[in-house]
Amino acid sequence: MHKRRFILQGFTLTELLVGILFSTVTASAIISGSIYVKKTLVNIRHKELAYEKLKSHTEFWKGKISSRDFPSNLVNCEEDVCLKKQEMNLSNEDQCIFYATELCYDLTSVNTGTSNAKRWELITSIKWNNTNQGERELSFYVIQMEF
Amino acid sequence: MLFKWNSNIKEKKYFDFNGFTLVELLASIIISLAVFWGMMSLFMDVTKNQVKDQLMADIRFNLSMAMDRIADDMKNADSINISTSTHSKKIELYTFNQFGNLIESHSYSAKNDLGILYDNEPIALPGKYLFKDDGPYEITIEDFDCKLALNPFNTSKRNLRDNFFDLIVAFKVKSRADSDYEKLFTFEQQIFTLNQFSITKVEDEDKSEEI
Repeated sequence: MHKRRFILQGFTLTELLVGILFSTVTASAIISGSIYVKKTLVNIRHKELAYEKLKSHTEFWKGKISSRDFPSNLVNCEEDVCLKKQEMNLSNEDQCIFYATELCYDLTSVNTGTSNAKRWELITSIKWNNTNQGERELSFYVIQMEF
Repeated sequence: MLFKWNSNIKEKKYFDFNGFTLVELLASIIISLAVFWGMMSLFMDVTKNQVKDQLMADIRFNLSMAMDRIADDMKNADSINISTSTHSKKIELYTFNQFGNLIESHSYSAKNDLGILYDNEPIALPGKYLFKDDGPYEITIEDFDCKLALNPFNTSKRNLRDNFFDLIVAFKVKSRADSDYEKLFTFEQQIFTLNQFSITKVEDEDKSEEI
């Protein structure tokens, strides 16, 4: 009778709670780890997109300086520039899913003295919001000659 | 007395070291299997996603390296011609010597199952294997285009408009195992072809446009 009761007595409430606690801790560690990895990957991709955009933006201003096509404002920023569109199909209408908060240029003439080779300092920068990490910024500095 | 003590020990030993019962053993095996199955399915899911992410990173790396190489060659070329080949747009790059004689010419194009081609041969980049037929994913180039990027609204200078290109490569990734998995990626890079610009700048574009 005593032996039978021992076999069928099951887990106590404390054992059950301890078991649940261990499982919860393990599961939450695994889940938070995978979420962290996912966020890091997304942030790296966002940085790549911002870098590509800034590269193209810098090329554009290098071209403008080379051809002496100067804007009236030597410093200016665009806001909410689309960096990534929802890529569904080539024929479908694309929808923007990731924006740069600011895309700026800053042109400064370099004092070249008596030299005919006029040069300009060009600083381009881009700002975007990372997932849960606030605002990030990338910046390029170039000296470009007029042609 | 000695007999009593000995029998007490035997009884106690039997009680303490009787091991698990069949029911306990089966229950623990079932619970362990359930937990193990859950962990393994989660692990398999994570591994599958990691393989996909790794593949996407490889493709991005492959294409961005190819695009950087095209951009560098376009910037250094003395003359650029964009034509249309059988499969895609073709970027032809020419280099001349100081007397204006052609020294070398190369071309970039794309074929959907071979990737980006340099002189009609697949570019030997680290991710070249991705375009092979026996891989788990089918990767095809959907679009390979190079066109002038600026219009008179962007700049009044014609020489700049003629030397500022938009290079676009779009590729589609399809899983051979999962028919629902299909993604389209587009790369875009703007290139200012400085060398050709400096060579061909002969007239004041503003004046020529006024005429």
